[in-house]
Amino acid sequence: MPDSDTLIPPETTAMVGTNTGRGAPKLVDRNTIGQFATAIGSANPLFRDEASAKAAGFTGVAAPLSYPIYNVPSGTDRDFDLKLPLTRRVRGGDDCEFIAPIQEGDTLTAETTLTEARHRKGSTGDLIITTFETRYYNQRGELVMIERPTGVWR
Amino acid sequence: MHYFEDCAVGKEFTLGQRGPVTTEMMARWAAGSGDFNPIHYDRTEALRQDLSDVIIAGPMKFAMLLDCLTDWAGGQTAIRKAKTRYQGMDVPGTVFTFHATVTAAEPGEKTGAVSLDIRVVNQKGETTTVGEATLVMPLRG
Repeated sequence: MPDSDTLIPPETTAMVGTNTGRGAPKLVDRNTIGQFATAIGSANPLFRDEASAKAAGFTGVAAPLSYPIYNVPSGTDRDFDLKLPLTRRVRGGDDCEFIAPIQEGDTLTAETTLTEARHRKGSTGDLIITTFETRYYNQRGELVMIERPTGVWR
Repeated sequence: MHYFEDCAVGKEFTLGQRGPVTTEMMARWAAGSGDFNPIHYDRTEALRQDLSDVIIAGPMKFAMLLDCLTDWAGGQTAIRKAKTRYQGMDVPGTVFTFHATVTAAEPGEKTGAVSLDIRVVNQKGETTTVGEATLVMPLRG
């Protein structure tokens, strides 16, 4: 499709490749881990029982694998003020690499890059697809998870 | 708990079930995740956006999948990669069944790498999410 037909404003195209920088550190705490587990209906003892988590090699109650997606500053597309002509957004997909365990007492820091914004015509009309990459680090600066979410705007 | 030897290419597994998903769970997810897109908790707004009801957030389905995969694998450190594509919407009351098919199995010295294709099916038989996962499973020895 020629660029002149794209629905993506030049100021948004110019943001592709930019990132949020490291956000504010966020402590992983037992209470929030428990809320996450309750929200998804998990009975896994790793998320509530310290002895079970320690037996599995964690230093405290384990965080669920995708816990970092759960509201770490600078860790979502909402940290970008994207100017798009379409406003109805749904999640298209998630794509995660789990690199190191995360548990209570860790402090996570996130950094998100806008990796792609493209326009395409779907069967129901115009769509804009956005892709981000978020890298999560622990308090020792170790990369613990990479997440690449896709958003679909219609 | 499953071992590498259980995972012959082509073998199918049911990883587990989650749900029925209640609006209370969805509200807890929205509050905890900070995702206040109203389509996840405001039925009036969801209907205005031509949806049939509030819809379950994709990352919430992803978290349930990972939870089932953790149970199946016998721990979460086995799970190295997972991806999902949300191809259909799910509403309150949904019971998810998580299915996996082994697509690759490569033995190593003490562990083996296993690739899975994932299907998430609701109680109406609709596959609303598909995905893939890569695990490192222990050898039975």
